[in-house]
Amino acid sequence: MPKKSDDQLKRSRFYTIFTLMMIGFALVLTRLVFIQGLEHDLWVARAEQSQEKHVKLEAERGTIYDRNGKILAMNIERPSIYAIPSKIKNPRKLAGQLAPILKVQKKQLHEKLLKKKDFVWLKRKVSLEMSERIEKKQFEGIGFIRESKRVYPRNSRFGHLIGFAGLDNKGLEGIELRHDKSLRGKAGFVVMERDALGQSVFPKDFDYARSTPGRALTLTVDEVIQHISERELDRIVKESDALGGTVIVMDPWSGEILSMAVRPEFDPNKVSSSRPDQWRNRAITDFYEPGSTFKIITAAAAIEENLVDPDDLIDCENGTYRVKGTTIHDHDAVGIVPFRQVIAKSSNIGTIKVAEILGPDRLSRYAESFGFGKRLGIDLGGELGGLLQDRKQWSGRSLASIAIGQEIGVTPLQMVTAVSVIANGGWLMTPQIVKEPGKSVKGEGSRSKIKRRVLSEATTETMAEILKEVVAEKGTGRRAAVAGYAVAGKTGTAQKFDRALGRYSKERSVSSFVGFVPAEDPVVTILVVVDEPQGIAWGGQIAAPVFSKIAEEVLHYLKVVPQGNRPQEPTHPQESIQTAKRRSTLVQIADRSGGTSGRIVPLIGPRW
Amino acid sequence: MPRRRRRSANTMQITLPFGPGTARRQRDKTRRTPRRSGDWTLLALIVILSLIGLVMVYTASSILAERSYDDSFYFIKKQLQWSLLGFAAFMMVSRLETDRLREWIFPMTVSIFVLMASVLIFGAEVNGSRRWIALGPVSFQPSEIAKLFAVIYLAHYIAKKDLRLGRFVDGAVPPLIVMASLAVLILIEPDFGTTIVILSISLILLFLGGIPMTQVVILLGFTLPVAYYWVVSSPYRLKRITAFMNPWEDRYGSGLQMIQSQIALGSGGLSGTGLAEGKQILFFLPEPHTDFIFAVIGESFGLLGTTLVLTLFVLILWRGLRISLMVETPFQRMLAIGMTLLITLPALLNMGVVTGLLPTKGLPLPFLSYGGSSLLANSVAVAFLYNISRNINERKGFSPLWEGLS
Repeated sequence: MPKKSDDQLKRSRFYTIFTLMMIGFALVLTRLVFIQGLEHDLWVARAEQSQEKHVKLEAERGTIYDRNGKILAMNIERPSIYAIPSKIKNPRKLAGQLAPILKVQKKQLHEKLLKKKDFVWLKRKVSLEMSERIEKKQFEGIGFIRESKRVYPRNSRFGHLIGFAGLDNKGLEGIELRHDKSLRGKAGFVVMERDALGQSVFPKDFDYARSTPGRALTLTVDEVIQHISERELDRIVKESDALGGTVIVMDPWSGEILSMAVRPEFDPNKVSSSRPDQWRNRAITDFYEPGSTFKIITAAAAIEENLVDPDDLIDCENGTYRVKGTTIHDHDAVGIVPFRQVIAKSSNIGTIKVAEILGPDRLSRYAESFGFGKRLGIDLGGELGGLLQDRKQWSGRSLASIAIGQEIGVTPLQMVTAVSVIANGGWLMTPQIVKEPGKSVKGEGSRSKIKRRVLSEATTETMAEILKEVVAEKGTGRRAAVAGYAVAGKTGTAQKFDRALGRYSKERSVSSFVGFVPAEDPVVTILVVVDEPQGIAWGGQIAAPVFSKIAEEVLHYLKVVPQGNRPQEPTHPQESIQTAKRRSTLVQIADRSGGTSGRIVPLIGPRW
Repeated sequence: MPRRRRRSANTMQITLPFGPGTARRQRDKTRRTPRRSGDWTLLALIVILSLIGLVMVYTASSILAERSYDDSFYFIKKQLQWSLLGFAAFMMVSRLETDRLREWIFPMTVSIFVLMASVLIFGAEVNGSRRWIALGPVSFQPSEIAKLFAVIYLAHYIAKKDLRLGRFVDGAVPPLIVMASLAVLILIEPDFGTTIVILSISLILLFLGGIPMTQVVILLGFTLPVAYYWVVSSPYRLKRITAFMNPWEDRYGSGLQMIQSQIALGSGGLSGTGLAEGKQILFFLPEPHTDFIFAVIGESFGLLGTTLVLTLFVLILWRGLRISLMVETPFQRMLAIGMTLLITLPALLNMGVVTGLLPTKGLPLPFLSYGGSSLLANSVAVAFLYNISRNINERKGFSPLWEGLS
């Protein structure tokens, strides 16, 4: 039997196949060593060249609308001018001819034309007349592509909120940055081809279709309310010669931002002529010491904890009180008054006394519960969480300071959201800025807008009554009153801490007013913050009138029926079905939690 | 149970290098088929390869997935699901008694032809080719099953007929006709890559099966010109092995993909751009996570990464050959070498394409490229190998090749 030799033969066949395979792998490895090792530099150069052959064509950015479908950001077509350097015979001459039209330096232009590339942009998104002037002369090697340019038809209105997108269609600030991914769409490419002479040309019918336009975005803001807010803010900033200011109007029920006005102003159409610090949306990126407006939180906490009743009498020491080695003064010295008057007169002493009953633990807990010290999570970039020290870090004086709104930094957004808790029956909402988010933001629709319950409904009713007295005839915020509607709110005047002097400054202060209207059934919460008004800086005199003016116009615009001829069921204009539904659930939840009006104090109605 | 009988006849020294206790040994002895550990080295190689594959599929696909599905994890999620399925298939097939497959050869042959014909009729058309059959939510490529079938069929045939006797019409021709018909059905889809793999493996297995040299020469006479035309048709392709060529000369021929894949490899250099840092591949290869994933590996991890992957496949080839040479029955031997080639040959061809040595023909890189059917089929192939490796008697060394032809 030739078994043995046969066996040897067949085994050798296995080895033959193995060897052949190994030769194959060896060839691949050799090739890899060549490409990746020896020729690495060459291929890197190839990579660059290959990328040059691809001209990126940006997609059209998604339009941004306000809640009523008014356009806040859109695109227009603008010609961009490019050159194909290999086709240009006399770059120096051409640079000389083009420079004055393009308004660029001849030297720079010349350098661009000399580049060993197949494609260079000369100037992008230029005016129509500029491109026409060049087109007429029919330069060899110069071409045009229509690109879409972002424009903001409302100019500076909404400027800080919307932000802006850069030349390459990339969102750089504000909503444009935050939602860049869905707004930007998908860019397309054009691959340059070579003509018969081996020169690069654009393919005849190049493929715009490969770019996918970005998704549109609808914001919660209302262009009219924004206009009112900005106009009134402009007026007070000018009149009081202030550094700037912020106005936020919020729907307390849904947490939707109706307007967000920030000064100094910024026009996203003129980015190049503005300073970067003007772009900042100070309503969310800057914090200030809230001063007396923070007494709302102290008072609400004390009432919620059943520690004080609006009618409890409190000795305000006639305006001078020593606590922990510091003397506290009141602006309007009062004696023994009911707690409601402590807030109405904005007595520091009375508030601190209540805070001492409340204690630091509970005050700290409530401040956090109201959303201070942490980002609220609005769908905007750059939001800050403000400054609220951890309870463990509090000094002996912290309780007294924080109770009256010192030693704490809040963003305007935090303040308006916190006061909306009082307005909507005790719920802290996540502030909303995007009405219909782009599809790419996952789970946005399902995310609950309610953050947490902060107060019982009974407490918020009591607080609303107290805050109405602030705006009553003798209250500090009487100038915030609006004819026909009850206003609930609080003034605030916070002296700025002067780091150079190491103490609170006498001249520089932040004047603010925050409140909601109509007090019984709020439609809007409004915050007015004026930064460093000159001369009189009292919140009651500077910010309160602005509140009054904005509130009046917004209520008229929203067709809220004035108190006298009000039907039983108040109307909620602009209210979405969802909000209405939620409101009814809110009421149900509140009812179940036992919110009653057992402690409602007799009303001292404001005389209009 | 022929296997057991043979083992006890040959030797009583059952070695269990991994079993810790005698209790287990006792239990094992009472079983119908003794459970033995298989080739763990092979499994380790496959696991390493699969893990690299998952990472690279995610890297290469995340941008595309984000753009197309708003979910950068879209492809990797699917790949993970298929991996689990592949693992389940592995567990099943590695416990199978492989010899019993031979009783089912006829029904298998019929059903595979029905399947391949039905994909041409009912298959979903994607990018101009009908390769997919949709079963509810999942769709798969029957040609991947056809590859497995081809190996099983040939192993069975070679073990049944003694090809050494030298009869041609009654020897090498019938399986070649079956394989060629199968290949034609796949070629119509068209799936050129799988066609090439099935035909090459058929020829290789017949060669290993012992057909006389005259027949080898005849078959080579048929196939070599075709292979030559395919590989060496363009004059520069041979030079590419050592010389740098301007890829742009061929930009309308083999297409942009191949140029771009070489650019990606080349810009990776020795150690690569780092994971997810490669720019070339993400923008310029249409679907970097499938057939050109080797280029992504090359760009991200450079020569280091590509050599590692290549080495892994070489080691798999070695383990497979070793199993094949050590196993005792011809059927299992041919099955083992066939399954080994099913994994390593596409790997070699794929790398050849990516490095520009071969024209693009659409072959996934086993265990690395994205693609469920391919992953599943390769898992089954490995399962067969592992299964067979458990029948090896490690002490005995290589077994005589042609004992016990049935």
